[in-house]
Amino acid sequence: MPNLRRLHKLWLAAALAAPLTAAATTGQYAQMPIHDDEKHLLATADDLESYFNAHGLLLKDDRVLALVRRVGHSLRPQPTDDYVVYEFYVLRDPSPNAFALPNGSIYVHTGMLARLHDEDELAALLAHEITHVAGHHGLVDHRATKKASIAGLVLGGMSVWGGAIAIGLQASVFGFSRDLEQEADDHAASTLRNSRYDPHALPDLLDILGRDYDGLDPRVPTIWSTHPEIRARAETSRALVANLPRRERTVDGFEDVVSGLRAMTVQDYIRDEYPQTALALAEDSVARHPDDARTVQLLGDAWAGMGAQRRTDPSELTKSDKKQNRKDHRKTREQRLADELATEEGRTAYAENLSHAQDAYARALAIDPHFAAAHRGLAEVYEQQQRAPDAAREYLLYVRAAPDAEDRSIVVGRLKALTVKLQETTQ
Amino acid sequence: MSGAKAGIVVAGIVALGVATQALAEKTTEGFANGTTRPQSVALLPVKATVTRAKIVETEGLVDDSVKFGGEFNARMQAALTAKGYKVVVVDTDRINADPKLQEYVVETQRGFDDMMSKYKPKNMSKHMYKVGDSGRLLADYLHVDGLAFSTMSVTITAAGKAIFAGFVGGSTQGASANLEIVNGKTGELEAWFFGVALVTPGEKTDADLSDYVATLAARSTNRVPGADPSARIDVATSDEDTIEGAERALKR
Repeated sequence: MPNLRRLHKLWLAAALAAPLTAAATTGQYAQMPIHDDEKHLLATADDLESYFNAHGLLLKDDRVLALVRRVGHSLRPQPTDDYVVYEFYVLRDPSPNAFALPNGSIYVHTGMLARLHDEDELAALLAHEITHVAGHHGLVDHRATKKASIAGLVLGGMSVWGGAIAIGLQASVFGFSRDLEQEADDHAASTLRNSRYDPHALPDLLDILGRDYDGLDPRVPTIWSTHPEIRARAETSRALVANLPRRERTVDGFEDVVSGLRAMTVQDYIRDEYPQTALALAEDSVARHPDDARTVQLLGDAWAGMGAQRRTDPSELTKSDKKQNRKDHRKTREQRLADELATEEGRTAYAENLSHAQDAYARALAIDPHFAAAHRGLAEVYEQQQRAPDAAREYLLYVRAAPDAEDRSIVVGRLKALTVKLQETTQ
Repeated sequence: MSGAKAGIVVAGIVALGVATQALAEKTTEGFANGTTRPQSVALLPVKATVTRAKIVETEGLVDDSVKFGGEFNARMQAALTAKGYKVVVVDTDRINADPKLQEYVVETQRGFDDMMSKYKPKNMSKHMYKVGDSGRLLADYLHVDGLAFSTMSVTITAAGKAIFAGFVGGSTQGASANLEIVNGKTGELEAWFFGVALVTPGEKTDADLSDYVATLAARSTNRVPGADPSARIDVATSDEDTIEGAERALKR
């Protein structure tokens, strides 16, 4: 086996040598003619767009797409090969990820955009992915490792029950070999230096990617399976840009376009039961928009979504904690809540989380007394606190304030159940 | 064969039949007796995987997955319609033409995936598996009382691969499909059906693949009971009546 590994490394070194040398001497990558037996990789890369489209996963938000395309096209080089056509897509997926395919298609997840703070971090991300395309990393990697096809690379993370959350994880900002990822980081720093963007956004981006709020490392097939590696990459890139001048970051236009995705991503994480991540992202949003009722209400939703989990610092989690977290993650929300409420610690955490949620909803209503969604949030908190009359009152305020709300039938259903309870109490 | 031995054989066959049925379907009591069985379902895009496994690499054929996934959905629609369900097909064009629908579909699909990652057949009757509010909103939006999710997987192996896989423990050929039905009013999983098809090793034409798709669609729907409006229990109350009822209860 050691011989095979050595052979593999030699293979990789040989395959890497040509494009790396060309890039090192000119700053540009050379052409890389495609072999006949590799054409299926390009065909599959093209087909993936149809696949994502068929599942409704391509985000159609014109403003978001315009932002990503504008930044991407401003950074990309001229293609060296006719099989490369740069195109940028946004995938409706909350996981913090992006990936590049050898045909020039670059996909960024909504959950990635939601975590970025400014256009410069987006530029850093796209510069990294563009290097994978320009450097033909898909083909280099394929020649070196004879890895499975692109589809396997991109969809490989999806099991039979696999969710969209796993899409692209194997062909992600973490998916290539360590050498190719490092090359993409190095090239991204150089691309940023030669652009109007701040090169210091690159280590900031890698720091963002290294955060594992829910402490599920490393079993869940997410970026966090390479967590230590991403930290090392952040440090390497920090050293790389240390002597470069800082530039003012572009925040305003970016914030305006991306804030909707942040709300969507927080809701996604609540629904998908990654409550610590939802809470961290919601707090980050509130720090930026403390006077926005919708953002503050989202913080309430995130606290309510915590159930009976206590807030944890991911850096303090032991291996055994993470193992337990992974085990708990296989339970339904109700099962998990019931198990946690069986302990004193769980009951305390539950009461505290609901109290935080209540405070946030009250704050949202203080900012905007007509903000209907906060009434619904309060009603749900009161329901969980077994305060049926208060819950019914808040639901009534909600349905009166938002008569055309899309969830009206659900809320009316809850109101119906609460009415039965109230009638039973008074009889 | 003696009478006792024949009895054992018969009992064995009956047990095998019961076990096979238990493995191929699981429903809630309400679904089985019709009280919570939907009359209309939204058929979501199938998660289809068509894989041709070769000696050195496994090639996931995305275009085949999209194409045969479409065929599978069409057959599911026909099978469910034949059983009396009103079927609303949520296809690519429809999803991508309507951002609201796209949002509901993506959220519901993720909720469904999460639910199924936790699913254990023995707990089906406990009504503990739910897709979340997005599923209810989707059903509401499409005016249906049920959601139908499906997955289909076909793996084709080259003749030599099957032997090779035997040595290295790799994937072998096979085809299977699931159909899950979720209650649109509650978001709860009501039914799970499973079907398999045998796939012989060797190259397959598109016509062969279409045959597998047809078999899988038939086997994952043939145990689905027909829509039965007479058994369904729905107490219709207007929203306004409910709201006024709640206001009266609070005043007491």
